[in-house]
Amino acid sequence: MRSDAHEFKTRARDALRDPQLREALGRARDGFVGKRQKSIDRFPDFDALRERGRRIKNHTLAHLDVYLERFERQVVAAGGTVHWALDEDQARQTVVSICRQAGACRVTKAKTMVGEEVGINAAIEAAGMEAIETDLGEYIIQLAKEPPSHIIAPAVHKTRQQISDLFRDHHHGGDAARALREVPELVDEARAVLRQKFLSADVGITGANFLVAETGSIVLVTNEGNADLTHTLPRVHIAIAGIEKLVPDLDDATDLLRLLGRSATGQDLSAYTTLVTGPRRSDDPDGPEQFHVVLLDNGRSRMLGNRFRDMLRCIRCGACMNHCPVYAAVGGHAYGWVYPGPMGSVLTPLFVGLERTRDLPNACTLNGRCLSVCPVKIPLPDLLRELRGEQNAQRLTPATTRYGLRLWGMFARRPRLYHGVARALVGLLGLLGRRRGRFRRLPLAGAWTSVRDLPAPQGQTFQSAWRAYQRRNER
Amino acid sequence: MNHAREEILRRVRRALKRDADSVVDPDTARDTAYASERAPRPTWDEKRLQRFTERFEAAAGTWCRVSGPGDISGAAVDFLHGAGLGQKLQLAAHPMLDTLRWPDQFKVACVQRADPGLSVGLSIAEAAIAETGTLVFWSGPRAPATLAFLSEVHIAVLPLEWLVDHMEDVWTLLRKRDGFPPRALNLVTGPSRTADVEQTMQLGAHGPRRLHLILVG
Repeated sequence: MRSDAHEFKTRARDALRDPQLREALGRARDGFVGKRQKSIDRFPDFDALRERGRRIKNHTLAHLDVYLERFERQVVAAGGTVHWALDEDQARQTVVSICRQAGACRVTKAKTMVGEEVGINAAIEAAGMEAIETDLGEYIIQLAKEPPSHIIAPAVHKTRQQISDLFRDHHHGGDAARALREVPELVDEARAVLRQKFLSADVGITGANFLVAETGSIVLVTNEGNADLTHTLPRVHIAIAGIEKLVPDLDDATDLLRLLGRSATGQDLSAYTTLVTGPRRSDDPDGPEQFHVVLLDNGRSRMLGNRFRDMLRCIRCGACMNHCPVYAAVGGHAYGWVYPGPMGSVLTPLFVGLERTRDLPNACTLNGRCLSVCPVKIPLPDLLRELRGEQNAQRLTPATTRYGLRLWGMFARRPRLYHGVARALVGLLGLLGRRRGRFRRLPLAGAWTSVRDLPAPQGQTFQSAWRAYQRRNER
Repeated sequence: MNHAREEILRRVRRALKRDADSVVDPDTARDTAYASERAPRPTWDEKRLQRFTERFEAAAGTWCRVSGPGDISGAAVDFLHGAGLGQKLQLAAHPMLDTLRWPDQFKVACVQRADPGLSVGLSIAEAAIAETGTLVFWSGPRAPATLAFLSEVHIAVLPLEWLVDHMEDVWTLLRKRDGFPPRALNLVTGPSRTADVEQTMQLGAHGPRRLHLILVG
């Protein structure tokens, strides 16, 4: 998918002025944070499980080649086919050619973030077929022609009024009598529309929450049951997943499922967790005739070999964005690509390139909440700092920032000089600001003082005050 | 796409600083890394069945209990009457359901594929998990997956002796069976739901609006 991450600042500013978005985001954050906390309160060992999750993923990544081959062997043994895709292009071509060979007209889809990453829908539509999202949230944003704004609640930025309007325009030809409607009515209407699509689809496309090497299975997690209708009813099932989705066996998948449900929605387990292995068996009454898995690299093997390997542990639960004050303020669309919030601020620069994503690693207060809730303990703040360093090294930061940092670095490496200059400056500012107690404007700090005053220092640095305090106590 | 396969594996190995011939034993490494330790799991004080029903209800499932397989039809009829759900029913072709007797006015069809026009489906779970209040369905001729997903109301039957504590116990139990894993192993915890409109929980998104369980034994 095309990235608009370079527009972060403009989009963030617009988002802050959008009252409907503010309403939607406020409601979402309270829901997600509270539900997660409640479910973890019922499971005192949750932190120990996070450590286990970290180890499972680290081990798998350290033996990824072996597990990929094991998974492939098992898929083939179950009668399925594995396709490998180096990049977005290859993934799109693979999916489109499977659909074409199946003579497909209509393709149903269960939510897949990797599908968004490679832009599957556009490719299917360009090939003359219909692609229909079946997750209610994805369906809503498909009607609105928008990308998802959250990885597990793609339409979290939409209010009920906006959804009512969309359904009025798309299901009722703009009939003005269909004003604001209640949630059950909206859900029922989508159910009826999408049921017809399910029953007439030729190909079903899903993602995969986990790939299990032991059995060659994919694990699919939904609350709506749409993934199961997507892979059970059509003639062909295609699952698309990043190569980092592997786990060694079903017990490992179980540990990660315990982490996923609680971190994502505060559920012990989502309503539907399904293990899909191969196509329909000879005596099966249902299921597809063909089962394809598309394994996508798209930059992941590069991350495996550099300082960002930790990011490949991500199980896409969304907890980091639910707990991020920046995400809560600007919403997912400001980030400009598929993955928003803290995990997106790490992934987008790595996938799209540092050049066009300069604001993302800096759109972070480094408060560390994302790390403290991450179910696989990804050090997101450290990775964001790494990216900032990388930007600086590649001279992608403004010259004033670079020179300023270099100057500061020079002082910071010479503690005596640093304290001397700090003492002099603080003394001077204290003197200048003595009368009013604050500064309304300061040279070089225009951005800071444009929205607030700077309190005047009291004339002494902390270090010298501390030394004086110690001297007093010694006596 | 053979080239892509070789290239991805080559890149992965290079990132891991290994060549194709290096001998790696992931299973031993896995034991050392974590697998020899027992994973933290949710625990509870109450009896297994009590834990199960408590979690099952928390997931918006309803249930009743009968003493033997012969009582399944009576329990299903009572449920349908009580809920005003009519007298039509689709059954899975399962030996446990073959010999059941139904009231004359009931239209009962044994199906291989759920008719989307009919609203109530009944099938047998192969296992259940007390930890999460979850039912496990094994797709196949004895339990067509469409019954559990296309029906408006899904009635499930579970012999009590198939209830286990944790999800791992299901794997231990089912790994031994012929044909494991089936094409689809569905772990179902309550009826279908969505919170995609304003975070408001709504049952019956795409799958069943109601899930009713008949516990046998």
